[in-house]
Amino acid sequence: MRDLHHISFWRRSWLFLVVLATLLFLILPIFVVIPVSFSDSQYLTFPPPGYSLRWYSAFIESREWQASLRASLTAATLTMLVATPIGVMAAYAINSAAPRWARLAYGVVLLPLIVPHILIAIAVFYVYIKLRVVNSMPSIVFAHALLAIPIVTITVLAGLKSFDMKQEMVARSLGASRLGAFFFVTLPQIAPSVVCAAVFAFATSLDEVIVSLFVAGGENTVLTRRMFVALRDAITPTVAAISTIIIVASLIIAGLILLLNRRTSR
Amino acid sequence: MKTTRPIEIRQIRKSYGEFVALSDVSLTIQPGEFITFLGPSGSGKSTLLMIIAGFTRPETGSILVESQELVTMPPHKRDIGLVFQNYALFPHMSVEQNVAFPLRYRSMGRAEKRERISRALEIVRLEDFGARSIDALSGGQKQRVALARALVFDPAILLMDEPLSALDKKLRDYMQIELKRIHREIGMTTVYVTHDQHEALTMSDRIAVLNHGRIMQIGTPKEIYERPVNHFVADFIGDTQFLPAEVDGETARVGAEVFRLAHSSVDRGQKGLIVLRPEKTFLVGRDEQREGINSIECVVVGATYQGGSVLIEAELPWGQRIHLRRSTNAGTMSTMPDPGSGMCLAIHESDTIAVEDDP
Amino acid sequence: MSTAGSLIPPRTQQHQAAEPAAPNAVALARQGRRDRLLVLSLLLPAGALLLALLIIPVGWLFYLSLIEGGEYSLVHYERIWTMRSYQNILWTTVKISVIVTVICAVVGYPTAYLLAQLPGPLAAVGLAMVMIPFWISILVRTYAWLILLGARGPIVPFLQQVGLTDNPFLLLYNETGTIIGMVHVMLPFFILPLYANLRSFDWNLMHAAASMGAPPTSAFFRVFLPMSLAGIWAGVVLVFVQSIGFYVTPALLGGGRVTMVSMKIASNIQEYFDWGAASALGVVLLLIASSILILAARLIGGGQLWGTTR
Repeated sequence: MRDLHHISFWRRSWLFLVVLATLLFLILPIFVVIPVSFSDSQYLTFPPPGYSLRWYSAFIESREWQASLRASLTAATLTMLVATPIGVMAAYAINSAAPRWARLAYGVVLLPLIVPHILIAIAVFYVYIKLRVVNSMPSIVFAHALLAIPIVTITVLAGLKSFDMKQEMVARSLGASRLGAFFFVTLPQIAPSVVCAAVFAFATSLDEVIVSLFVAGGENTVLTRRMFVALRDAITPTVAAISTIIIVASLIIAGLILLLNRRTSR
Repeated sequence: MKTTRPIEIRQIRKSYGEFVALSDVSLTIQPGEFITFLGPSGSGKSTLLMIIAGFTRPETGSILVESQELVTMPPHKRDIGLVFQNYALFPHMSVEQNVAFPLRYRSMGRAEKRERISRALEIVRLEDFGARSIDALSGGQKQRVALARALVFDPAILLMDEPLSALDKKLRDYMQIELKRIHREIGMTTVYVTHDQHEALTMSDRIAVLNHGRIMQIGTPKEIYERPVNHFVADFIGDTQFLPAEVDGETARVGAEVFRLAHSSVDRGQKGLIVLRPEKTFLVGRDEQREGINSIECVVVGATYQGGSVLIEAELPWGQRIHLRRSTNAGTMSTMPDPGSGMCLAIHESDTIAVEDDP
Repeated sequence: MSTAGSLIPPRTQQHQAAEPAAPNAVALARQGRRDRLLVLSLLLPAGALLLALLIIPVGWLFYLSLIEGGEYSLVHYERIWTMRSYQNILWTTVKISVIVTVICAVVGYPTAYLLAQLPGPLAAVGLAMVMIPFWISILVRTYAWLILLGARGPIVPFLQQVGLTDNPFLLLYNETGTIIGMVHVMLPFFILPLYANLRSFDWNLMHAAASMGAPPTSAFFRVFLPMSLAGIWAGVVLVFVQSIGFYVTPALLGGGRVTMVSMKIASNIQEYFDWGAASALGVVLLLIASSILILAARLIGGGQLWGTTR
């Protein structure tokens, strides 16, 4: 019974209005980008004076933007492949360690979420300069994996918490080795959270701006870095076209995760 | 059965920081025997089971089966079937796949595997359930699948950790009989952990009573019930009351009376306790014959009708109140004492035992 | 059996006499160590990456922040403390972060409060509207504000027509634009933990307060607000700590006129290659952020702070 019927509706109507305005404030900007991407003007006029697909074709025809898209997708895919197993291993260890050690290990794994990203960016940049690996794809992937591992660990740990480790014990007593028990019994059941974690890792890399500004240039200039530079120096609606594509992709990914979560909770 | 030699458990010690879970526990499990570890929570019974299974590592100790040391062996090489209270079935597999799981790790022909699976399902009476998914089973059925899975590879030992406590009472009683039947049919060496004394008494060949990480007593259900060796065992099993006594060999002084003892674990001249079970205690008139009976004067202070029995409360000369039961058939009802009447509390000499008081 | 009631203690003593005092103790201890090592080895890849790319390099930067001209010196920190330009940057950063946090609290609280009371489906829609921005790249959102707040967007030309302003860059390339953009990014970080906190609130307490004659406003301030304080603090801490490290939004919506700490760190390196200065500023930022987090975790409990986001 959540209705506070003793507070009359008109006295609460201001609350509804404030909340509605806030929610609109939160989502409206996104729906500004989409019309602008179909604009026929080269200025950021809103509403657009006319409509065309010229910014989409500009995006498709631009070799630089295409290279960046490829670099971003490659980096995101590799980050996912690196961060997911590492995060799953860490989560498993934290889940099975004694509480005192688990808390310590968890704290360390979560460090990248606590340290300001600009500091991580220059720290990683510093190492890469020393090693002369700035702008190389593997170094971009490791930098992104550093940021993705805590998120993977949190997600998989949540999955493991709702898994009954006695099943793994039974499997082992029935003849399975530790590894066998994990792959045949545990993994199939925590699969949704692992897939979820992998998607998070992918999205983390695809979304990352600050570290990429330092270590993901040259041939491997990722999309976020090129967008940042474009927004800072010369804004064109090409960015709107890319943004629209990103919005649609993001919403698809979000929907996917929502679907997965619903499947697991059942 | 595979094992024809006993399982020798020696000097198992396990502690968690300051807390001693098991201190130098030793026992021998006979082949084919159904042995139960009985004790309150925290007594170390589950820890001992997990040590046998290999998921808890003791500080010291040895588990020998046919001169093979189990205690340092990884769980998957121990050849042990394990059944947990919460079933721990694999929900992503069907009933048949669950039962087939241990056979993946044992080399045998396809035909033999199929034969074993259907035999295991037959034993637990789930012949037609092979294709079902785990979610579609009731609690009792799940427990049967867990049992079939633990039996299908003919393990050296079957371990069960409170396997019936998640079931409701009726189902639990039924499953007790079922487990007993299955044990009779295939005679596997079974280690059973429970805190439920009724379950332990019903099912076991022998019971090991644990408390504070030690085995208090080990013996057949009858020995444990009729001849408890100390206060804890006598108190933990049955609805027990105690009379303070000074024990002098085969007799004991209780108040102004001298009781003849059938059994005593008390040193001569020590203080001890006479064990009173409600079904072994009865009232006699003060002027009645008392051949072969130990008795002490008491005053009836109340009687409560409870359907199948009447609960009588009697007060002893030093003020202690004792409960005893009388069945409610016509014979006993006609001689029911009135409150206030002076009687004698009585117990047969052959039922009279004394245990040490706790230090 | 004739062993009726036989006592176990004497038996065990016999065994102790016949066998070694601690069978398998050495082998069991060795296995215990091996097990712990196995768990540790699972943490190895994550640990190695953290060590190589975060812990060692940040330590290194800390060392660099204490070096000037090849010698140990606190000059980088002194500059932060004494130089006008640095003070301005720190002041701007704190000012903007405080304003953003306050706006998030004032706007976010009613939203979380209402969402927590709405029936399931409506609450889900509202929550989705809060979550969607979470899923959109910060660059895309910043871009949207560039359009909306810009000279050709819907707002400024309108204000010009009405005659309220003649400045085409009233809302963009200044602190106002930066704050609007940052509030947009941070608002979900305030609403979501608070929502989680309010969801677990026992609304019967409000009814109880009302039935005892408390007017609704008084019931709100005396019952509801105190109970939700932990959630508010969690949101405030999350928003503030993230705000002081912001880079993208002020860099783009500030148009070069707003400099926050993160931007100064970046430009120290990208333009001046002054690692010492950048590191010192980074260390200061890290100390501020971590001390606030540690303090908050102490005061309101780590679970409130960490468990509720994502």
